[in-house]
Amino acid sequence: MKKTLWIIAVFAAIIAVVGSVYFFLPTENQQVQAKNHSSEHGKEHETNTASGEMPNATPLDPTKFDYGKKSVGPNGQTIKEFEIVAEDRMMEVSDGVEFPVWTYNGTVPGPTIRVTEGDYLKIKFTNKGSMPHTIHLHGIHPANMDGVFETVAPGGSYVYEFTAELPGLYLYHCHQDHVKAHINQGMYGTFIIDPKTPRSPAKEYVMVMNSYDVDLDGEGNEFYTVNGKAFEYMHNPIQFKVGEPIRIYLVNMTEIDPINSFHTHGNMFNFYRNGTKIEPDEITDNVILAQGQRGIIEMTYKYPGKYMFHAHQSEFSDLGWMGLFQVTE
Amino acid sequence: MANLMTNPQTKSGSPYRLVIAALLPLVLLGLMIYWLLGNGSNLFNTPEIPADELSATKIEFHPNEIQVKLRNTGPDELTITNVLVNGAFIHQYEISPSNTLGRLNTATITIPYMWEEGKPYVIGTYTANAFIFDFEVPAAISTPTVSWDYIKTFFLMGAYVGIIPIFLGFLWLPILRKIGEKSISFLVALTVGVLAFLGIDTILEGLELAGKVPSVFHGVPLFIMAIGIGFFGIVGIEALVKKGKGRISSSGLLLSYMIALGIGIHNMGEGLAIGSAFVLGEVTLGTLLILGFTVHNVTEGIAILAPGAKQKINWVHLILMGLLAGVPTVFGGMIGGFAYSPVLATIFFGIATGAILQVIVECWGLIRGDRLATKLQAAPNWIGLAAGFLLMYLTALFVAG
Repeated sequence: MKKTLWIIAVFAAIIAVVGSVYFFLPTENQQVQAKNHSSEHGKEHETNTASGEMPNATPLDPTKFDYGKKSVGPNGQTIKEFEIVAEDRMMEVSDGVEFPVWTYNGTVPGPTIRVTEGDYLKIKFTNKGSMPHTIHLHGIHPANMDGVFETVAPGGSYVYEFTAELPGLYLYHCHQDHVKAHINQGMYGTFIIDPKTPRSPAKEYVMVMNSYDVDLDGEGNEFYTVNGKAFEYMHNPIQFKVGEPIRIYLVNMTEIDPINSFHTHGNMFNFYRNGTKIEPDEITDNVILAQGQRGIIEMTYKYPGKYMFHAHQSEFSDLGWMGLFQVTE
Repeated sequence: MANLMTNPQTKSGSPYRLVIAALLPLVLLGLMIYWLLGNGSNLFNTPEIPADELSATKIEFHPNEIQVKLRNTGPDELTITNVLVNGAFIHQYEISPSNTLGRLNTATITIPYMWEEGKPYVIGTYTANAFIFDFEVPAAISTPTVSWDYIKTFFLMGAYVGIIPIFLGFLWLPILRKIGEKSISFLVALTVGVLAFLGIDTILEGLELAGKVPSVFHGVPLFIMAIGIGFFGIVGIEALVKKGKGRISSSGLLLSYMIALGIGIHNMGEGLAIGSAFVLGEVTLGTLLILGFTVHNVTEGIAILAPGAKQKINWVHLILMGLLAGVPTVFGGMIGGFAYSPVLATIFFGIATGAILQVIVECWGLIRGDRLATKLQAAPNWIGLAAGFLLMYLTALFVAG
């Protein structure tokens, strides 16, 4: 009699243990519920916790320019149409280190918008992210095209249209509260207005200096990069020839730290602040820029070999903002 | 008054004089306070140095909204002037009932904010005296409202952490019986070892919690007071049961019940800690954490039965004792999850410490021998004690985080 009781007890225990493994799934159920809940609010996104399911963001290709879809308006003005979509992505900010980012067209930094002076721009912005966003372009345009007060909610869209004036190098970024969070999460890009008479032919690159505060403590950055991924151009040097004219569109979007810098080895360059003047502002091998400042670099290498380029804050270069030019004969 | 007059115990003097004697100091104290707050306020002629102190009692995360419940724990009235989230000013928020908080008053700040699950948040508040108070949330998690889903979650948590392991431990009863025939004091010492580990663990956790209590509520004295309540509470309950002369008043079984009660109170604290940590986003109720506690708590089942192993124990008693020790975990989890406060948690951990200390004293009394030294010299005793402690230490390694 007593023996049977013990056998029953042992069985009950085994059932309890086995049942436990099966039963303890509610934590996952809750996650699913959380997702359903957020989609009810019009957000078609995966929650951050399910990072594995989020598509990957890519670094910016420095030689890729988005010239838009060209057409001619009724008054003969050239129209350039762009489509930009905000999406939540996962970004490999350094080898093996993943960080959830908010992107324009799936890259950090966002695509390089390039038009010619006098063009009429139509930038259709669609927000497929989880957060409200905007596109705030620098330069001359009406107030309602400034992308500050016209918040684009998740699922919403907005068309920014204006005539491109004053050729130069500009940038764009999200201006949604709190801006610093949106900058840290990758919402910025380069905007170039070419002069009607084109600049001299050269091999052209875009370089956006940025940073990531991946632990989100707001106290400092863990990574500094140019074009999105730490040490990218150390692994894959930028290649050109001796005597070949080089033009770099340099933009600084570093968050938290007040300045960033760009330094070339073995050469001096012409620096055109904002690219708005014909004459270079200085001839140097090191420029310092605050967030939002930018300029055009023009140079030619005299000798072949490997040359470093990096931030001249060694802290930044050690944390990812360092690259190589491979100059060949 | 009529009662007082006819009371034969008031022998010395008139009852009126007694009343006056009792009230006079209070009246004088009241007059002094009145004067100090009024005309006498510049008595020491010291400059007024503001010393604001603000404590967050709870930070809740609701869809697109953060709610912060604050209490003014400083000496004076204070006014909240600005609110920041992650170092950026918030332009639209609401404070109810008012942004001016009297001493010990509470207020709730409601901030519309598109927070994201799992991300860290720091809520900052400025007061009119330019003090800033930062309240940190390591990882935001949607605050549970009392709903069937969460009740189920906490029930399951309690079942895994408290109830199942204790019954699993009970299954060793036949082995305990075998050992008990030879050396019951080994088993009792084992129980003492287990309880000692639990006791130390509870004290450390309680002191940590006491440190989080706003200074105005005196965390450490509160904790020590609660230890006293726990200790003498168990003494009282035991005395009552003995007086009742029920079926469980036999010494071995009664001791097992008392251990079960002590462990039950401890488990309530444990549940409270897990529940609140879960809600505060400090832990995820991962399988590994629960598994760790489950393994750890199997030893509690052994500890309950060991002293009474020699006697016959009816299975009804087994179930009752198991429930007594295990079920409080469920309630602890719910209290921690739905109504957490550091003050409450400190009191709980104090009571648990007291209860465990009392049960240790009781167990130790069961081991024969006159003085402590001779008790410790007996091999079964110190081996048992060490074994119990080691068992707890080793199983604690399974508790991640």
